[in-house]
Amino acid sequence: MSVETAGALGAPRTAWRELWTREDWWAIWLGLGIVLASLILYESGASLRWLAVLPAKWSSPPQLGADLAANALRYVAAFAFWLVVFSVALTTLGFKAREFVPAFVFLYLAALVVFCVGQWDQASYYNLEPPLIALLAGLVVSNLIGLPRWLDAGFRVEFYVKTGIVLLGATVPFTLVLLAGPIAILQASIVSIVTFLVIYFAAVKMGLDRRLAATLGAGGAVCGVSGAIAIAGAVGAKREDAPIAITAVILWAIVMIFVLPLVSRALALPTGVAGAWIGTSEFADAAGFAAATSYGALAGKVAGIAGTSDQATLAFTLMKVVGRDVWIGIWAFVLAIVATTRWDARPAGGKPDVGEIWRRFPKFVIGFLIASIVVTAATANLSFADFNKSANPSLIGPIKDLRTWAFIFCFLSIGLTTRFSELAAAGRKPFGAFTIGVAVNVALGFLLSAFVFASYWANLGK
Amino acid sequence: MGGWAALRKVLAAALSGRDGGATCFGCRHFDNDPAAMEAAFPGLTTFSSGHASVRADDGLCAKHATYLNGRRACAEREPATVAPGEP
Repeated sequence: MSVETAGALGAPRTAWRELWTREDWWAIWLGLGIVLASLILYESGASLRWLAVLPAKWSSPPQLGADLAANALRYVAAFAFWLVVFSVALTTLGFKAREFVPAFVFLYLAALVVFCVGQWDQASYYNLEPPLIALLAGLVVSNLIGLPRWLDAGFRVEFYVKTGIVLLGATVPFTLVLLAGPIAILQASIVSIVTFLVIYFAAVKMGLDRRLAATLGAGGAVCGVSGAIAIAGAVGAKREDAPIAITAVILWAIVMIFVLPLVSRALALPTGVAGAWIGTSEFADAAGFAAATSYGALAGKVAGIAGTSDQATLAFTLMKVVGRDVWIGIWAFVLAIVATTRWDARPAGGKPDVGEIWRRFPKFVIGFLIASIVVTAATANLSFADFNKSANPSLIGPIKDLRTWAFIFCFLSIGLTTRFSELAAAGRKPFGAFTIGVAVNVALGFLLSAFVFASYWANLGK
Repeated sequence: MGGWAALRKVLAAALSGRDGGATCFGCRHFDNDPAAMEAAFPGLTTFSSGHASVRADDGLCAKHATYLNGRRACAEREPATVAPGEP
């Protein structure tokens, strides 16, 4: 199942070995591979469009059937493409092909159904946004019907979302990253530090161990489950601490996937503002993308919601990925120092080293930035008219549609791997401390997104 | 010069993956297998992964029932087997 050997044979990963033993790097290889292939085809006058197939809008089942039949070969090719590239990555990571392949067949077919429902011309009227359909369908299947656990080999939420984020980089002008990054970092830093301190001190005040308090704080403030486990490892938390934080994050993250877009819709927030709020107040990348893309899809369809779907995704990405995720190594390093110098001693100690900042860095962000730089440079000499006429449909469009597939695989996988009955009991006090932090985070995130920096986010990328 | 030396040391540590000393690696109580993490932490794969970079070299210590950075030194380390080159 894995490439690392257990127990006594375990060894530190070198930087070079990480290149093929971490899913972050595989997301980079896969994402950048698609971007480069798309660029090469574009430069040679062709396009990746044929492979990036999605159902067309439809109003009657026969119309949908005709569209699917006409593009059947493309769907088969797209399936084969994803199956091969994901199989190479996941089997190298240690997963068994005989478990991944059937799981992915199921996932691909489910994703196709989700796309078909989402393309129904009445879908918006009934709030049938693909991210929410995917999530709900997955939750129903995993919690009411149940699937064999070995199928989880194909439901790799993090791998799919990281691949999607790298592909997303190709659609974001690097100049926008440079311009918007500092504001995102400022807003995210304010909210992250306040949220961490609120959860940490609430937990300590309730009598919880400092290491558990820090683990919970990082889960709410930095990057959800990934933040929680990174800090749990950095401070040497008890074995049961991480599962407690994981449960708290999952429950609130899933609630927020539905609540944040609903409240945003009720308040008719511009898509950029809602994206920034979701980026500040969601706890996990995958959950946040589900919320941001479902709200962004309402742009132009629901009266009163200004902005574009891209603005929601962009604002979310800048806030969550650039503003929050990239700092996890620094949080871990600082808290490791605090834990070893200020808290009670643990048998396994030693001085934390600065290299931890790099070792814990979410490497997929590098892929996001490289993709952005490469496509921005490749299209820099095009006029606005030429960009819209050629680059947008032939270069950017196919990457966007392949990214959409990756995200739907991710959203389905969230539901399919969330088994409420198997989550560890969070406990009243940890869940209470986390919830206090959630309340502060959501309020502060709204204040900063919808008031302090509102005009900035509403006009993002214009 | 001091800054450059410190930078070189950090880069060397990051690239070599070694800090020296008796760390948890090779201890019979330490397990940093991604699959073991995912089995030990219910819900981990819903929004994260045992294969994520943020996990670095963390693993489970069965002796102390903790989840910790495998690069830390531990006085209670117990090698499971004698590694090549070790006495």
